[in-house]
Amino acid sequence: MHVYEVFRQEAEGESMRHVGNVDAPDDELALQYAREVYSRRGEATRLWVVPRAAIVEIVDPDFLRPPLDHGYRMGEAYRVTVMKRRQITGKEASRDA
Amino acid sequence: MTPEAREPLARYLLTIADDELVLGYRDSEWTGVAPIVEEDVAFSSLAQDEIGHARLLYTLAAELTATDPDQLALRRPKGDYYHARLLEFRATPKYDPSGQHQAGGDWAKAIVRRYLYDLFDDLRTEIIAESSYPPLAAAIQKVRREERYHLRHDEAWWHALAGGPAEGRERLERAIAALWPDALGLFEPAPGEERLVAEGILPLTTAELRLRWVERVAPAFARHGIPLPDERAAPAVGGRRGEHGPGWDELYDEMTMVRRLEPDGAW
Repeated sequence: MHVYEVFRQEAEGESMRHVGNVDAPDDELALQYAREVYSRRGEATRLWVVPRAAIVEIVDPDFLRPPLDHGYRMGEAYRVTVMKRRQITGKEASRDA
Repeated sequence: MTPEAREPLARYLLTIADDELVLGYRDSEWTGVAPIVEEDVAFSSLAQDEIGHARLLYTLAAELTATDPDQLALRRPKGDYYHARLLEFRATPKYDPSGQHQAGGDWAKAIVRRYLYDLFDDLRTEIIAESSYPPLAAAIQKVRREERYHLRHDEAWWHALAGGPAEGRERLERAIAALWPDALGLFEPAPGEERLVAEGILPLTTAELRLRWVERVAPAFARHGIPLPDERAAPAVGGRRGEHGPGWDELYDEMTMVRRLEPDGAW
């Protein structure tokens, strides 16, 4: 038995979104189970099932949200950008704005 | 269609509808006890599909016989149902409120039954799709779009059991041996099929599908080195004439229970 992650497209042209997972003995049954659990009422135009083992994962915050200030790398942090943004919005610009 | 073809056509429609209804009921019994929870949901959905197909065919039969689909599905006498005997036995363990549940159910039996029946039904619906009776051809083309996935489901489990650990394989082989005569009984024709063939309503009789079925079944056996049982073995017939076994007594009582309590109840 393998875990498959299920991705669903809800209309032609939209991106595939992760909706959950199923347990299944093989790819064929994974597709059928994904249909039953995630498109019972015709919610999907397309389904992907991906063996969880095929997913390459990283969850390390040191890598994803580095502890040091990286603001200097971003255009948004330049003094002129900050000043212009303040003129436009009347608010203090921040990296998250 | 000539007036003489009406009765055989209605009977033929009932035969197919009864096959689908009875299998749908029996397979719905796996709800809650299938091997894994995902299969529980999937198998129950297949069962509901079959009941949907039965409903469609009962509706066509009702139009020919001036009755209604519920009457045909649930209010005929026990001996007026024409499904093949393969479809009527219970494959699940039986729940008993006292806690004395009956064992003896086997998932391999449910899979073998479905696979052998669905291969037959695929051939049957393939010829019906060519029928000169337009309402039937149109209905069956829709049914086939769902049945294609039923076959894929059956095949996945067939391979899983045949190629899996020894116990699954043993159970599969036991189920094949036990069900083979019943499976051959699928080819028992409904009365009046020759009339339907003569009028082009049906391209072939049910009996003529048998060789094609063996050609489909043989590779599925060969792929896993499962010996094909004798195709000339005596088939379990009678179903198409309304003659059934104890599995049907039990199922008929259960599936008509509510209707018998309140025959004219409306839902």
